[in-house]
Amino acid sequence: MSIDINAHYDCIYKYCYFKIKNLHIAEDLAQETFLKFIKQGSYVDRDKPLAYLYTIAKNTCIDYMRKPNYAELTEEILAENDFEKIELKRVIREAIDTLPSDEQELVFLRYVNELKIGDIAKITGVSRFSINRKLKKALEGLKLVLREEDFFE
Amino acid sequence: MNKDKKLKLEIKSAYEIPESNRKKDFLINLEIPKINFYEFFISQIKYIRKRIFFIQLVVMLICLITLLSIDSTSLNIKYISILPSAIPFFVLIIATEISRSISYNMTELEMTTKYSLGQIIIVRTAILGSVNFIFLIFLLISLKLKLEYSTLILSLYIFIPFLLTCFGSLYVMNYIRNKNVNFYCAGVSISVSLANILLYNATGNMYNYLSVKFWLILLVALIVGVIIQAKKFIRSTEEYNWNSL
Repeated sequence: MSIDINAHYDCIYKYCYFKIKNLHIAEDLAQETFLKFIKQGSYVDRDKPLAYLYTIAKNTCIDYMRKPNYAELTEEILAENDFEKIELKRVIREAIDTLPSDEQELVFLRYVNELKIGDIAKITGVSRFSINRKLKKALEGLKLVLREEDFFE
Repeated sequence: MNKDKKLKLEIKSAYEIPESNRKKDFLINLEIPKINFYEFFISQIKYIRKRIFFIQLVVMLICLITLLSIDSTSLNIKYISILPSAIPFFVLIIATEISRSISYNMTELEMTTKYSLGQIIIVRTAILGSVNFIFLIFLLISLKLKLEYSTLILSLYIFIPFLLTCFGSLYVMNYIRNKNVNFYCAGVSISVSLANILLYNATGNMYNYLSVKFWLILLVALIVGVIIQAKKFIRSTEEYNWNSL
């Protein structure tokens, strides 16, 4: 099985954005991820290609963050007309930021990139059972934070 | 909408980002490495049905066990005339695999790959043929150990029925292109096998009955015939048009 780059481009782009919080740099890193993936000579027929792709993306983002001139960026305010929507997005992202980093990643992979539990298990190297448990815990945590923000009103 | 569903939807929309304007250029300029010929060759092994290799092994083992179980002191060429009669079935095993794309109308599917149907058939035949060739060499060595005939005579003994069946099967596949092609190939194999047994019974040892020169000329003629028929078969695979089956 190989990867359809066109189909996964946006997901990897979003994933890098989730890590780096800058659109322009995220896209650079996403493209670098695909180039590395292909350069490995393993584009054709490799086991767990999706897990391999996400691992490259993660490591590429980590490498970027390790650079001496890297400064953590504040979230970009994306062009949006509806102020309420912008505010809601900010609240949700801030709530997600309160979660432990592994739970943040699981929430992102499951609910933003909409990966199957099996694929997430391959990417993270954690059992399906553990992922389900952590996701449940993460959602409970988010509900708790968002209840304070009157999200469910 | 329940709370969980609402929350999941909001999480998704919280990370919505503007559509990339560099994606199209990136994908256009991306050079994806293509599979090389060696990888293509190896990959074809996976697509050959495993039972084909299994049947080849079984036929070979039957031949070897039969040969080894015959008492060498009472050995008579007539007793082992069964061996070259089994050889056409080696060819039949290959023929059933090669004609599969015709039998199951797979041609269109295979035409969409980087390599043409002709190339795919050549590779698959090469794989199966190599396995058969190894088996035939084993058989030749076993016969050499049992019989006091020259290697040349024993080679004729093995390769003439083999090549005759190859020629007949290819000829059939060139002229019959339908789901029954396997039955016709089976007919060829059985005919060669029976002819072999009958000629042995009639002549004692037909390779001694006629001069070696005759059999060598026949061998060369069969090799030429097989090459011509194989070329014709490969060329014909390039003549298929989409949806013409």
